[in-house]
Amino acid sequence: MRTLVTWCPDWPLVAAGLDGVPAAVLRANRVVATSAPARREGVRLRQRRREAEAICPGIVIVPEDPVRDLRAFEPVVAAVGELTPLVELTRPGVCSLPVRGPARYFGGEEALACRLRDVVGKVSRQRARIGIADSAFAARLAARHDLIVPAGETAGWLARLPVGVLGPPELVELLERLGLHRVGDFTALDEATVGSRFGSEGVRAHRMGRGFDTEVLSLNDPPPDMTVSRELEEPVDQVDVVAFLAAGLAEELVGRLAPHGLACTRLLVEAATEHGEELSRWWRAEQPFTQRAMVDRVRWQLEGWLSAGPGAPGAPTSGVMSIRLSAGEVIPEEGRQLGIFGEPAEVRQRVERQVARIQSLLGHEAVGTAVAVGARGPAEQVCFVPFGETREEPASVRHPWPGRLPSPAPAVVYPVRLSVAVLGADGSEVGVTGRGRCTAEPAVVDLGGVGRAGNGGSGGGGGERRHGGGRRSVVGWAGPWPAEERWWDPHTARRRARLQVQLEDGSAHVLVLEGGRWRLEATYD
Amino acid sequence: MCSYTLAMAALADLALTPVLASERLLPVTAALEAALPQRGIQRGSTVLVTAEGVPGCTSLALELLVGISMSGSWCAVAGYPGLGLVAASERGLELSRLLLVPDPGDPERCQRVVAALFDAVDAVLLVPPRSIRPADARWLAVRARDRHSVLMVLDREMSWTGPADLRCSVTASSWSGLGKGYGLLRSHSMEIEVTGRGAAARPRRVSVSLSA
Repeated sequence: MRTLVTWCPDWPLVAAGLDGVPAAVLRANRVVATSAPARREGVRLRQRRREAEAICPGIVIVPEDPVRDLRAFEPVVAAVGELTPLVELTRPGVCSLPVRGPARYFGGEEALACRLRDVVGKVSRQRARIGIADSAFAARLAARHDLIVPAGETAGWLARLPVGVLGPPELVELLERLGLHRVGDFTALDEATVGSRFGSEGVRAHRMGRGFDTEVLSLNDPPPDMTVSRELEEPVDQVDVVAFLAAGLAEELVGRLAPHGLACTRLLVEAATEHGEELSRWWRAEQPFTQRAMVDRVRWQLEGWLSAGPGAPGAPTSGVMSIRLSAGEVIPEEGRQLGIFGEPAEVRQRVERQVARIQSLLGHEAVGTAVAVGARGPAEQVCFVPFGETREEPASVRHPWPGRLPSPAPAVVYPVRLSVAVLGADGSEVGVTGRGRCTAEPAVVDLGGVGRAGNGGSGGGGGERRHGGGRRSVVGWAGPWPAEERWWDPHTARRRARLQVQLEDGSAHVLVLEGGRWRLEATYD
Repeated sequence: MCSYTLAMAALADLALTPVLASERLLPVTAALEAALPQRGIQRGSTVLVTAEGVPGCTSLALELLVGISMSGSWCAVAGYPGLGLVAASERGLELSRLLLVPDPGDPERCQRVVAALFDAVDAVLLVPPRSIRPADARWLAVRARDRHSVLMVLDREMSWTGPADLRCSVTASSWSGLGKGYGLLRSHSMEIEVTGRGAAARPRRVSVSLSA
């Protein structure tokens, strides 16, 4: 979804009123935000307090205080909310909104960005950076460069960025060690390959890198069971008490989503006061909310509302009567999911462990499961999928596949198809006309080399060698079933015709004619 | 570690996973119940599936596997790249619980692969490499017993030299429904003879009809 992100740089310093002097914000004795003058002196993120003070004597150090930051940012959000009601907070200093509607209203993305810059500038006296791109993730990156990425060019723009922007540090480190330094290097890999090597986290990063939003299950109107609320018996205006209640609610919400294998990426925090005021704010997560992250957001939000002094815009005038949290967007959280097939997780784990052992012996592609796909030939109706990989949704099995052999299916399908001859009573080759008729009644099948040639190679075992070869007379036959496949594409088009035959020795086979040659495709064994 | 300690560790391992008598039997489909002395396949046993010069070997092996798969177990097929999976799925084999190892490699590697499969699934259908040695075949059967898993050997060429608790062979097989230029293959009937050890010592002959 095309998204706009507004970013006010160094917001924690702005909120503390220290953006014009050398200053830094500290968490656990490490610098987490700096002002521009401090950066010019050489203060960097993640430095210790002592290092920062050594580099820049006289630096003003303040502890981190998200509530203060949020309280200062509230007027900005409120002002942006005047332009569009769909604004979502990511963290103090950063908010996002869907572009489509507002851009149309204000006459283009460029005009919308200008307008926002004006509004934010007027409220905060800061120059906001604005990024627009095709996904929320890309828009956040674009905001760093104050850039509007034209529609459809997001993937190309992201491809040039270093792979570090994708997030998870372990993943990024691994990718760099593998020599994938740009996002484009990573996204050039096949998604299935990424999935089997890096798991769901890798697939998510891969999607983000290609300019897609993370998979969203429901866009709007969260179903009722994704909402938790608490009514208070009497209005509460102590910040601590409300925050404590809200933290409990956040835990409840996470606990409700987890059994469904879901995690929330967008959260609506609502509060109603005794005077009937209704406060609400959307939060958007950069990574899916963990319980801790959700509790933090909710606490900041409620503390931000309640601790704003009376008379501040949007501040409640009385105690809170009810609190409500809703998950706006949920995505599959595969990290905690139970068995895919609904079986006890240990069985699946046991299988996975042993499969890993076999893969270490024979290679990744050697072990797999089969997935039914829609097709005509008995060999193409299932697709071998190496274990641990996922395949894109294949052509549907339920579609009609004219020319498909009816059930029952043959029990042996030869990986290597040997040539056979199908002869009529007069000894001439049997063919199939353009109208799907046999040119003569099949009377004899010459299994020729079948059974003698080294079919299938070593370990091929199986059913290939059983028929002694030679000529057999036909006691029953049906067909042909002509199959014209992909006739619209000259490169992959195939014309085939299949014949069911039963021979004098009781065996039954599927023969396939393609390009004027009959081959033994399968046996009813 | 001395072999005594290893043996004790193995015993302790077994003691931790007790198996009830009823759980020791894996179910088979109704068509085959009459053919098997216990109306099921004993866990840990080795089942040999052969055919005496007639087709039907694969169908019988699939039918045996289907019963096990339908009860919720995982199954595996090793060394049989030509197995018709559509046929398997039509008969009720759950493909998502079926591990496939089309080419398990040379006999030595194949042995390790099958041993790993015993730890993973309840039944393994193996088309043994031609050059498998009698000692290796015996080792696989013992391993299956240890792991309470069924080793099902599909052996057309009668080359399996290892032990077998049950020996199921197709003695006759015929398809019906197909005429000269009309009709379709519809139903498959087989004559099956089951012999084996213990309760299965007396041969049983049944005819089985599998229709679409």
